[in-house]
Amino acid sequence: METRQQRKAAAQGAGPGDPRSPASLLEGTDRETLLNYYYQMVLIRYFEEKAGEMYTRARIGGYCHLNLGEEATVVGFCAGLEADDYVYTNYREHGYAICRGISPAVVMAELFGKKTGCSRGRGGSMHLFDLKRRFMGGYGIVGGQLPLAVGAAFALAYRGAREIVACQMGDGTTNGGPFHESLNLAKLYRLPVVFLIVNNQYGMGTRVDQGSAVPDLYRKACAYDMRSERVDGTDLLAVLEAVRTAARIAREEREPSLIEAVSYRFRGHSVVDPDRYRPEDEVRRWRERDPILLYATRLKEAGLMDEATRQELETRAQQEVEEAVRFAEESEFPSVEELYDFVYAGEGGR
Amino acid sequence: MPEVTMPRLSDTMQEGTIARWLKKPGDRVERGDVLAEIETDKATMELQAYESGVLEKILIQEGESAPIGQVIALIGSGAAVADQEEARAMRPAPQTTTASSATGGGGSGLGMSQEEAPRQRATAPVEVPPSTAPVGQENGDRLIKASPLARRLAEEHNIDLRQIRGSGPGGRIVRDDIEAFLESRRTAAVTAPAQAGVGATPAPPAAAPAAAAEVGAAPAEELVPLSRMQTTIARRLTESKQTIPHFYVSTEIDMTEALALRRQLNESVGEGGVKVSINDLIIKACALALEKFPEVNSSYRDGQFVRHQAINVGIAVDIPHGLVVPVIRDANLKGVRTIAREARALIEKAHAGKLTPADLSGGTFSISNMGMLDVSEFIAVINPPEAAIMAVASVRRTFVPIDDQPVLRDMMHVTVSADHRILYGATVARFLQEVKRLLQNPFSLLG
Amino acid sequence: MAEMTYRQALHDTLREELQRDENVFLIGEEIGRFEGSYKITAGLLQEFGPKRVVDTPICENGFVGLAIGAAMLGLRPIVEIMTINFIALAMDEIVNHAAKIYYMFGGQCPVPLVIRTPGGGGQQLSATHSQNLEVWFAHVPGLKVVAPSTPADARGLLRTAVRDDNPVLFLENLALYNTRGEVPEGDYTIPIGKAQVMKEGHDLTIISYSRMAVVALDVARRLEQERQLSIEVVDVRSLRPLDHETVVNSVKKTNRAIIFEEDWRSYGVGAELAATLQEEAFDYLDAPIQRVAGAEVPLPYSKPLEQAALPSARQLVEAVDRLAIRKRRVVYA
Repeated sequence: METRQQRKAAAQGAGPGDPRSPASLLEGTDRETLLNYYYQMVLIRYFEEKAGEMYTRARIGGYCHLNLGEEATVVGFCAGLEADDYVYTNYREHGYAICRGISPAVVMAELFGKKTGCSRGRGGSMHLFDLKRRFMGGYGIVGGQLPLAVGAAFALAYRGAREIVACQMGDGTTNGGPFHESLNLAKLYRLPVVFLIVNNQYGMGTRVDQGSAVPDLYRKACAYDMRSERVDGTDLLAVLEAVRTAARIAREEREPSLIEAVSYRFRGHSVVDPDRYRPEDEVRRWRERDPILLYATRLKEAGLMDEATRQELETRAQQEVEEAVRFAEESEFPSVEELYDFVYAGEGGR
Repeated sequence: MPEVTMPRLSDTMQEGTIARWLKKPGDRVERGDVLAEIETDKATMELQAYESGVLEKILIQEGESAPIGQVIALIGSGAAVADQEEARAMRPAPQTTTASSATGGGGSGLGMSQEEAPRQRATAPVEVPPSTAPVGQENGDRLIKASPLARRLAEEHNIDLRQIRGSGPGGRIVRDDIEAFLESRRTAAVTAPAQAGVGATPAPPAAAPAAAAEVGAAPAEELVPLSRMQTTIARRLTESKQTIPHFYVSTEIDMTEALALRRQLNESVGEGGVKVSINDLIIKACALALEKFPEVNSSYRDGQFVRHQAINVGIAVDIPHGLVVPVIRDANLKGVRTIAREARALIEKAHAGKLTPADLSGGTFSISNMGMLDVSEFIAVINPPEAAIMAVASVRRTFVPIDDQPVLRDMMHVTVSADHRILYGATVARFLQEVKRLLQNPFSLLG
Repeated sequence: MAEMTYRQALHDTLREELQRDENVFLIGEEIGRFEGSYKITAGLLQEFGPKRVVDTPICENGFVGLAIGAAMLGLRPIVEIMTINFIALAMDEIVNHAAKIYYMFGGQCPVPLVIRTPGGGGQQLSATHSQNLEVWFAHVPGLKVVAPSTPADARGLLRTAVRDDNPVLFLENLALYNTRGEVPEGDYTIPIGKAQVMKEGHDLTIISYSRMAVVALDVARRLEQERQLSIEVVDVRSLRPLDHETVVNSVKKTNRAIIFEEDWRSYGVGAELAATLQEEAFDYLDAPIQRVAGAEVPLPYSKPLEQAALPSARQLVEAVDRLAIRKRRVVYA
C-alpha cells in the first residue's frame, strides 16, 4: 500500500507540460521492441489518415473516430499489457485493435463493411472485436464498456486466472454513472482491471473543465480509494510504464487502477467534425508535440534509429496500410442472406 | 330541422336504397332540387327536396338502404356539416353522371309479373345502364360488415354476403350467420323446385333460383345472388302461388286469319311506321274480351271483389336477370297501331331500365307470350293483384280437321291462369272463347 | 409431482443450477445476506458462499454490465433485479450491450445471461414500483423474454434460460410468488418460445402470460360452468421469441381472440399478438380481436384507484360478452 500512496502522490504533479521521464525504461528493452513501438505509431498514423481519406471516398460509412495525435497513448497502453490480457475500449479504437494484433487489413475491411472484417462487417468503425486476441470490443455508447470490463475482470477473479482486463475510455466518460459504478464495483470486489482515461481534452466540443467539476480526472479515483496517476499521453514510454505497473498490481495484488493519459487529437471528434471549437494556436502547439516526432527524436538521440531506418519503417507502414486498403477493397460484402445470422447464439446463429 | 325521409316510390316498395347523393353536406339546396337517386325494387327514382336550406347531414349513405319514412338526411341552416364531411371523405367520390331520366312519379303502384313477352327479345338487346339497373340488393354496394372468417366461408360456399343480415355487433355478418344461412338453404333446397317448375318463369339462366342450383350439387355449384328485383319477384310469386288458388283453362286458337291481317297491316305501314305484332293483336283481343267479362278484369282484396273500370293490359318483358310487366292503359279503347306503338316504346324503356312506376303500375290483366321460344304450351303464375293471366305459346302450323279434311292452319295454344276466389271455370272459359273468337275473326279487332 | 409455490420452484431451480454448473453465479441487490427482497434466494449465500451469491451495491447498470462482461468470458450469471422498475437504470447495458454483442461482433462472443425480475401491480406500491416493462425487452432482437405463470413453468423455463447462450429476461410477478402448483420431478426443461394451451376450448381463445394467464384460466373455467362457453386459454410463456404457431392455430380453431395482459395496452403484447393474428389468421377471425389491459395511467397508490387501473377478471368477462358468443359451436373436423 505504501507504493500505491507514493504513486498517487507522484501523480498529483503530473500534467501535459510535465511529462515524467521514463528514461530508465529504455534500458533493458531491446532495440527491436523500441523500433517496433515506433513502427506501430507510424502504422496507426498512416492507417488513420488513410481511413479519413477512405471515409471521404465513401468507402467507409457511419461514424469514424481517429487516433491521430494519440498514437503514443495507444501504443504505450497496449505495450504495457501482456498478450493474453483482455482489452475493452470505446469507439476511438482502430489503433488499439491494430496494436493488440488485429491486422490493419482486417480492421480496414471492417471499416469498409466487408465480411472479412474483424466483426464480419456487422460492427463497423466503432465495434472492432477479436475474441482470439482478446480484443473485447470497441463500444459506441460512452461508458458502456466499463461495466463490461469490470465483469470480465470479475470472471477472471472468479476463476483465479492470471490475466487482467484493461479498459480504455475518453475524458467525457468520467462524468457519467457507469464510470463511477464501475470504479466502485472494481474496487469493492478487488478486480484485476486497469482503467485508462485518454484525456484528449475535449469530449466532442466540450473542454474537460467544462464537463467535469474535477478537471484532474485521475483524482476521481480517490472517491473509491483506487490508485491512480496522470501521465503524459504524448510520451509512449510514460504511458507504457504506467500501464505496465498498473497491470502488474492488478495481476499480483488484485487491485484496480486508474490512469489518465493527457493527450490531444489532431483532428475533430470524428472525420466529419470541422473542429471549429478549439483555438488554432492550441491545436498548433499540440501538433508541434507530435508524439511520433518526440519518440523518433528520443530514439535518434539514443542512437537506436537512424534516418534510413526511420524511412524504412515508415515505408513499410505505408505499404501495410496500402495493402490493408487493397484487401478491404477486394473483399466481399456479407451476403444479404446472412442478415439474420448472429442474432442469437446457438441456434444456427439465428 | 326539416328531415328528408325515405320516400315511398312504388306500391311494392318496402325500403329504398340510396343510389347516390347528388348533394353533399354543406351544399345549398333549393326546393325542387334533386337530392338523391333512390333505387326501389323496380326503378331508380329521383328524390326532390321539399325544403330549401343547407344539406346538413346525410344519415343514409350511398348503397345503404332504409325503410320508407326513415330519416335519410337533414336540411337546415348549415351549422353541423363538419363531421359528415369527414365521413364522406372516406367514401368513393360520387359519380358525376347526370341524373337519370327516370322521374319521381310519386307513389303509384307497380304491377309485378314474372312473365315476359319473349318475342320482344328480337329487338336489339340494350344494355341496362348501371345507374338505373335494378341492382337493388339486400345490402347494396355499401361496405358490408362481415368478419374475415365470414367472408372466407361465404366465398367457400359461394354465398353473396348481400343476401345475409348480420347479427354480430353493429350488424356484422359473423360465422353464425353464414352457418344459419347454409342451414336454411339446405332446408329450402328441398321445397324450391316446385316453384321453379310450375312457375313457368321463362327467365334467363341467371334468374334460376339459387337454391335450385345448389341442390345436391355440392362442389360444382355456383351461387348467383338475387338482385333486388329478383328478390321481389321471388317474394311476390311465392306469395301468389301460395295464397291464390290458381286454376287453368286452355284452348287452341287458329291464328291463320290473324297472321294474314297482320301481314296486310304491316304491308301498308309507311316509312317509320310501327309494325303490328301478333302480341299486339292478342292484347287488343284480350282487352275487348275483358270488356265483355268484367269479372276477369278484377281483383280480390280483403274478401271483396274489386271491379276495375279501366282495362290495363300488362305485357311481360324479359330484361337481363329479370322481367318487368309494363302496362298498356285502356287497351280496349286504343287501336291496334296505337297499342303496337306503345308496346314497342315500353319494351325499349324496359331494356333501357327507364321504366317509371307509372309505366309499371295499374295493370288489371297480364299476357305472357313465349311464342318466340318454340313453346307448345305453358301456364303462368298470376301477377297479383290481378285475377288472371294468359300464357301464350308458339304459333304452329298444324293439320287440323276442317270438314273432316286435314288442313294446315296456324294454331296457338293459350292458357289462362285465374284466381279461383273470384273467378270460376265457366267464366274463364267463356272469356277465353271470346278471345278466340276475336282472334279468329281479326277484323273485329280493328273496330 | 410435488406441489410447491412459485417462489419455491424458483429457489429450488437456482439452487440446482448452482450445484450443476460452477460457472453459474447469482448477483443482485440484497440477494445474499438479506436473502432476497422476495426471499427467492434465501439460504443460498450460506450454502454457496459469497463467490457464487454476490451481493451488489445499488447500481443496476453497473452490476448488470458486470454480469454481461462476466458472461462474455464464459460465466453464466443469473442477475436479480429487485423489481422490474429498477431495470430502467440498466437499460444501456441490456439493450445496447447484452442484446448487441453477439451480433455486432459477428457472432464471436455469446452472452449467456439471465436477468430475473418481478413485475406487476396490485400491492399498493404505486407508480414506480408496480410496472410491467417486459415489452421493452421483448421489442429487442438479441434478447429473449420469458414470463412463466405457474410454478412448473417457472422451473422449466428458468432451467432453460440458465442453460441458454443468450441474454434472457426472466419475468416474474409479485402476485405469483405465493401461488401453488404441481411441479414435475426431475431435470425437466421447457423450451423458450413455446406457448402452452392451458385449457382447450372452441368458442374463444384468451391469450395471456404471467399472472394474467392465471386469471384467464380461472375465468375460462368459470364461464364454462356458468355459461357453457368453451374457452381456450393460451399462455404464451415466452414473449420473445413468440410462438406464433400455437397462438395462430388456436385462433384458427376458435375464430375469436382476447388478449389479456397486465401491462398498458398501447404498443404492448396485445398489440403484437393482434397484429400477428391478423397477419396469419385473418381469414379465420370472426370478430375483432379484443385487448384487455391495464389503464394507461401511472399506477396510483390508493386501493380503489389501483384496482380500477389494473385489468381484472370482470373486464375479461366483459370482453367475452363483447364478442357476443351466442351459442355453443359445433366444431367441424
